[in-house]
Amino acid sequence: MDIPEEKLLWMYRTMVTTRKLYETMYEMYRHGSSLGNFVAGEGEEAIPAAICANLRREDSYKPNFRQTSCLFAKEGYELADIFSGNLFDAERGYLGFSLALGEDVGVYTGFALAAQMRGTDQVCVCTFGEGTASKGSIHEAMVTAAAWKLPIVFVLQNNQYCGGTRYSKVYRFDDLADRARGYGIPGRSVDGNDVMATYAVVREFVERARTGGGPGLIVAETYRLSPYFERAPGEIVIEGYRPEGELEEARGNDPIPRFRKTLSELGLLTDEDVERIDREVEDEIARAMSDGRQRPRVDYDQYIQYAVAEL
Amino acid sequence: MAANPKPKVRMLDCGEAINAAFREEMRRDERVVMWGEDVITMESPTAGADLCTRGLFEEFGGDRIRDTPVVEAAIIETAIGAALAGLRPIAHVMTGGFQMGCFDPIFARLGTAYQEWKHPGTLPVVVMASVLGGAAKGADHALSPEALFMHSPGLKVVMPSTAYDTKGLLKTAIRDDFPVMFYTHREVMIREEKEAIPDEEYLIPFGQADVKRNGEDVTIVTWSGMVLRALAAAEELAGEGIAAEVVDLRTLVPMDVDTIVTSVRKTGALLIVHEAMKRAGAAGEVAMRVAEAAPDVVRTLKAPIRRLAAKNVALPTSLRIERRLVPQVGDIVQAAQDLVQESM
Ligand SMILES: Cc1ncc(C[n+]2csc(CCOP(=O)(O)OP(=O)(O)O)c2C)c(N)n1
Ligand SMILES: [Mg+2]
Repeated sequence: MDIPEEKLLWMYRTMVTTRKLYETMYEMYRHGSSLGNFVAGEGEEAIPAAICANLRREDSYKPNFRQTSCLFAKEGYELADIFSGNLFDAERGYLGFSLALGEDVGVYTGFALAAQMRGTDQVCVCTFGEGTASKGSIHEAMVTAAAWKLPIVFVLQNNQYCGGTRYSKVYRFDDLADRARGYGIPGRSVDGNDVMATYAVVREFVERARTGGGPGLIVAETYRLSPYFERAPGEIVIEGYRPEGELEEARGNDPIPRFRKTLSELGLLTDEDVERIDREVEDEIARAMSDGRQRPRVDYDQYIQYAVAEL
Repeated sequence: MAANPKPKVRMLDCGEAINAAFREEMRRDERVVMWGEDVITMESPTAGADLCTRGLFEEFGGDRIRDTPVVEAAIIETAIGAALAGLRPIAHVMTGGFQMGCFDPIFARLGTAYQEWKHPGTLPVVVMASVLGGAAKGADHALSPEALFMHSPGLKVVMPSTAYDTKGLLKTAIRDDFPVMFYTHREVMIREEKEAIPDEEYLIPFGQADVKRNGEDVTIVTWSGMVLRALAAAEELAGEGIAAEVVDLRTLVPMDVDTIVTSVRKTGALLIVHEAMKRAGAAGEVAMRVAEAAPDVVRTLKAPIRRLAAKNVALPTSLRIERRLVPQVGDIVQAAQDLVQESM
């Protein structure tokens, strides 16, 4: 497949950055006082990299909720944004996300609707997990997108688990992309741990959407190496639901070493490159962290300006 | 050896008390069934809870306890259908905020339709969820939705603040023949101190508030997680010579207005505290119920009724901001002091 060399290396670097970002943010979470929930998408880094490699600044991208930090890879965003705490920016195509899962898919469908109504060639790529894919609101959004042939690509990221529930306990078919037929839109499954294959499918679907061909559904098969989520101190997370050995086996299919191997077989990446990239990325993250944290944060006084009437 | 009349109690946390209530009721009545997301797999249907459903699948089997996909609307609607067909479902929806995604099924189907269409029988559904306040989890997780569902005609609303009350009220909820919204609170669920729970069965009737602390100077009416903060505030106030009476409403619908009136008759000052947003929050309902039930008490109040609740803006995902929006112990102390000051 004809993926330009610099794009391949960009995707590799993006995946490495994503992984290291999770590690950095986890350390911050553990040592910070922010509470909330901490989620990460280890093992699923190839999918956002393949998506962002196909998007422009004015396009819209919603990562899966556990991968919001991947926005750094979307044109228009940078690493420091991730540490600044302020990502919401419709100009750069990020309309936030809903912690009540699935309720944001219709919102992103609205971005695609606006693009169509105004006659721009913007597209939207909206990602959600296979668990979230059960929500009724997603069904309504997809029916709407299909009815109006909206420029949106839905990416169903099947990491096998929804909380502690394995997807095969819930779905009665093997290929989740079969779902697309019910909406009358194109659907395709892809190995989401193979960044090159994922890139190719995303490119095809994004180009179709951009040129008036309407929406599509990509099912990216992957595996959630990260826990369900890290809870605030005192709260319990149960992680005993994975069959013995499964996690270890899945680590063997980690998309980052896999791509590293491919690139070195293609003669595009040496061991020295790997080490250099690791070091550079670590430096970048450290710099981005200090830049991002220096940016003004929304403080209490600004926050309460959202009050529509009396506070 | 002489018989040792040990009081038959066990020390349980709230999750264990819930587990015991489920177990007893499922043993007692085989029509009691439950489903929700990860009810079996994670053993923790009410998010923030510890192991509420541990062992239930092993004891009662997959016909009576099921994991669902992420389908909140279907969780509620299937519970309604199954209840109409003779079962007594407990439907888990994780958090109060996620109930916004199944608002019609709860508010209108469960809370309205059976009255509107003159359903001749019963509708025994318990909807269980957690309120995850106090940890910057944002509106979808931390929303305390009591006022929304108090406004639905057919729903009872239960919000306990201790493991003991949770067990007794949950058993009552499961035996109730009509819909009950049952909310646990994160801060109650993660409390480290266990409580003495009698082995012997007990039920706590709805519509009975509990005076969690006696005092003569000011009545603080509250419920759910805020009871813990109000009790901490009362302790501080005691150090300053103010005796606050803390009334835990326990159930919002039905509401025990008598207990509030009795307390306010004594103290002459009423402060209502809740975690949910102030505008159209349940405090307004409490105040009006008191005014309607006991105009004489209102006329002789030493100071106007006050309320303390979250500010009228979205719950944030920042702890710094959340702590300034939602009443903290210090805010309750301050509000009670102000009220007592005004009463002099
Ligand atoms: C409406 C709603 N229901 C339930 C939850 C609780 N919840 C948080 S993450 C999660 C699992 C989602 O699984 P999936 O969509 O597969 O995404 P993944 O975690 O695998 O990335 C659930 C059920 C939620 N956030 N919102
Ligand atoms: Mg998943």
